[in-house]
Amino acid sequence: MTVEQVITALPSVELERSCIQFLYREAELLDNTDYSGWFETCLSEGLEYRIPIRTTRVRTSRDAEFSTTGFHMTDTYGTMRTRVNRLLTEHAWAEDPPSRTRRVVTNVRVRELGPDTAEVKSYLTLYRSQGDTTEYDLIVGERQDVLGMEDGAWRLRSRLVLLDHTILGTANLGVFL
Amino acid sequence: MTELNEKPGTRVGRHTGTVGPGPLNGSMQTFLSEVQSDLVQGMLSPRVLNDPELHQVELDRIFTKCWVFVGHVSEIPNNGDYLLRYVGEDQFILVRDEQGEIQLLFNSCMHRGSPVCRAEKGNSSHFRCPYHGWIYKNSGDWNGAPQRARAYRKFDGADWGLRKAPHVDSYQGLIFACLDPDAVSLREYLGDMCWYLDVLLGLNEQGMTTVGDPHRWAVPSNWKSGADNFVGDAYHVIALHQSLEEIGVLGGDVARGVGSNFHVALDGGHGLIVTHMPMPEPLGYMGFPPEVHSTFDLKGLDADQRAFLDADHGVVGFTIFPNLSFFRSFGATEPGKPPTTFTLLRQWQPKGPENFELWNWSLEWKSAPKEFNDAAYRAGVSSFGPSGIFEQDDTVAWAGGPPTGRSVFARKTMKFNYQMGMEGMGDYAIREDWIGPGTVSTTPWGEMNQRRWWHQWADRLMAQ
Ligand code: FES
Ligand SMILES: [Fe+2]
Repeated sequence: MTVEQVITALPSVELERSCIQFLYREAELLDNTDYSGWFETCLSEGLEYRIPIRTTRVRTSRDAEFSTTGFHMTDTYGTMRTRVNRLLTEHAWAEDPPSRTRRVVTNVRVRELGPDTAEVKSYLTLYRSQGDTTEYDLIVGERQDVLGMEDGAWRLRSRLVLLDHTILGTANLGVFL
Repeated sequence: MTELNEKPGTRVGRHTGTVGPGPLNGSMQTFLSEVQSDLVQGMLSPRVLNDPELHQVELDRIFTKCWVFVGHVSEIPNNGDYLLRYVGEDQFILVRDEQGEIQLLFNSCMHRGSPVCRAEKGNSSHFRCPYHGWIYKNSGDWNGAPQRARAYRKFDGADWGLRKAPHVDSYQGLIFACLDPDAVSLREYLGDMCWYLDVLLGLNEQGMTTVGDPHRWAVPSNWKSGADNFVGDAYHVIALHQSLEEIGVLGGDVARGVGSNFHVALDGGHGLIVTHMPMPEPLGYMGFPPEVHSTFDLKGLDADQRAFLDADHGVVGFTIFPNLSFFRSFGATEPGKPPTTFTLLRQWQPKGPENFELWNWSLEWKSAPKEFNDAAYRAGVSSFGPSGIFEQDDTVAWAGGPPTGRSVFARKTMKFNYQMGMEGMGDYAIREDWIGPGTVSTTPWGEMNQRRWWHQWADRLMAQ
C-alpha cells in the first residue's frame, strides 16, 4: 500500500470522532451499570453479538484459533434484552453486588463501509473486581464492530469479540464486553 | 568403545512397575472415618472443600484410580487428531493413532520432561520433543532420536515410549481413561449408568456429536461443589435461579419440580435427577420435536428402556463419579419464544483445592436438522457456560466453599447440613415401582444422591 492509498483510506475526522465517542459512551454506561441505558441507546435491533471460543494451535494453523462454531456468547437483540431484564431483577446474583468495572477502549480503527455504516475495531481491557477483595480479573481482547446510523445516532449492529484468552480467567461473563 | 557408566558394571536401567497410592497418615484416617459417620447423620465437615493435604490424597486415590472422562469420540474423528486433556491436574494428549485406536499419552518427554505437544488441538502422526528432538509416534511409541547411531546404539526404544493411560475406552461416545492398571472395565465402573446413557445418548445409531470447542473458564471454588450440584441438587433452582422465573424464561412449575423430578442413586457414587414431564403433542421423547424424534429408532434399547421413554421420562442432570456431569433441559433464549431442548456435558477439573476449571461441551443429534441444532446450541450457551444466565449465578454460590473449608473456626464449629429428606424430615421416600435400575426417590426434596456421592468419595480415599 502506498502512502497515498493510506491517506485516501483514512476516515474523515468527524466519522472517526463520532465512532470513538460512541465506544466511550457505551463503556461509560456499562461501567456505571446503566444496563437499560446501554440496551436502549447503543444496540441496533438487528444486533449480532458473538464471542468465539479460542483454542491454542500451532502457528501454521493460526487462523483456526477462533472457532467458527463454538461461542462463549452468541446473542441477538432479543437475547440481550433477556440478559438486561435479568440484571434488573433482585436475584441476578452474579452481578449483585455489581462488579467494579473499568473498560479501557483503545487502538480504535474506523473504516467507512457505506453512507451510514462503519467498521470499527478497538482493543478492550476490562478490569473487573467484586466484593471486599483486592483481587481482580482482566478480560482483554479486540472487538470488531459494525455500527449503523439509525435516527441520527450510531447503534451497534454487530460485534465480534476476539479474546486473548483460551481459558477465561473470570468466574462468569456477567459483564458485557 | 566402552560405556561411561558412573560405576563400572552398572546395567542400563529399565522401568519398574507402577506404584500404588501412598499410605494415609493417621490423622487423615481419623478425619475420613469421621466424614463417613457424619454422613450417616446427614452432616459433612467444611474441610472437604479446601484442604491441600486432602486434595493431594484425591489426586492420588481418586484421579489415578477412577475412570475419568477425557473427551467425546466426535472430537477426534480422524487418525492423528489430538487434543490436550486432563486427568486430575495432569496434562495428557488424547489422540487417535494411525491404527485408529484412541490413546491417552502423558505429555512429558521421557528424556527430561519437556512437553512434546503444546497446541491444544491438531493432527499429527508424531510428536517431536523440542528440547533434544526425541520423536514419538502418535501411539506413544518411541520412534527415534538425533544422532541415534552414535548416541543410543544399545538403546531399547520399546522401553522409552511416552507414559500412557493403561486403559482407554468409550461408552455411547464418551471417552474415559483410567490410570490404574488393575482397574475394572469401563462398563463395570459405569455399572447401571450405562442403562441411562443408552436412553440419553443412544436413541439412534448416529448418536450425538460435540459442537464447536468446549467452553473453559476458571471458577474460584472446589471441584466437588459442581459434582455435588449436578448429582442431585434440584432444590437450589427455586432460590438461586429465581431471576429466570421472574423474567419468564423458566416456568415456575419446572423450578418447583411439581411432581416431576426425583432422584436415582446408583452404585459407585453416580446419581441422576430424573424428570417425569408429560410432553404436549407433537413433542416426543424428552421434549424433542417431530423433526428430531422421528429420527430416533430406539434399536439399541431394551423393553424397559423404551418403557422409560414412553412414560415421558427424561434426565435433567447427572454426575458420573468423580467429575463428569450432564444436563438436558428445555430452554428459551427469550420469554415467549418456544423452548428448545439442549444437551450438555460438563466437567469439574481440579486446579488445587480452591479452584477448578469448568469445561462445558454442547452435544447435538447428528440426525437432527441444522436449524434445530443451531437453536439448541444457542439455548444451551445462553443458559450454561460462562455467559449462561443460569450458570453465572451458580459460580457465585460455589465460591463459598474454599473460604469456609480453610477456616479454623468453621472446621471446629461447623458441619454442613445434608439431612434433607432423611427419615422423618419430609415426604421424601424410596419408590418401589421403578422400571430402571437404581434407588429411586419419590420427590426431589432430599439429598440421597449427594450423600451417596460423598460416601463414595470417602470410601475411595480410605480404600486399602
Ligand atoms: S527432553 Fe525431550 S528430547 Fe530431551
Ligand atoms: Fe444451578
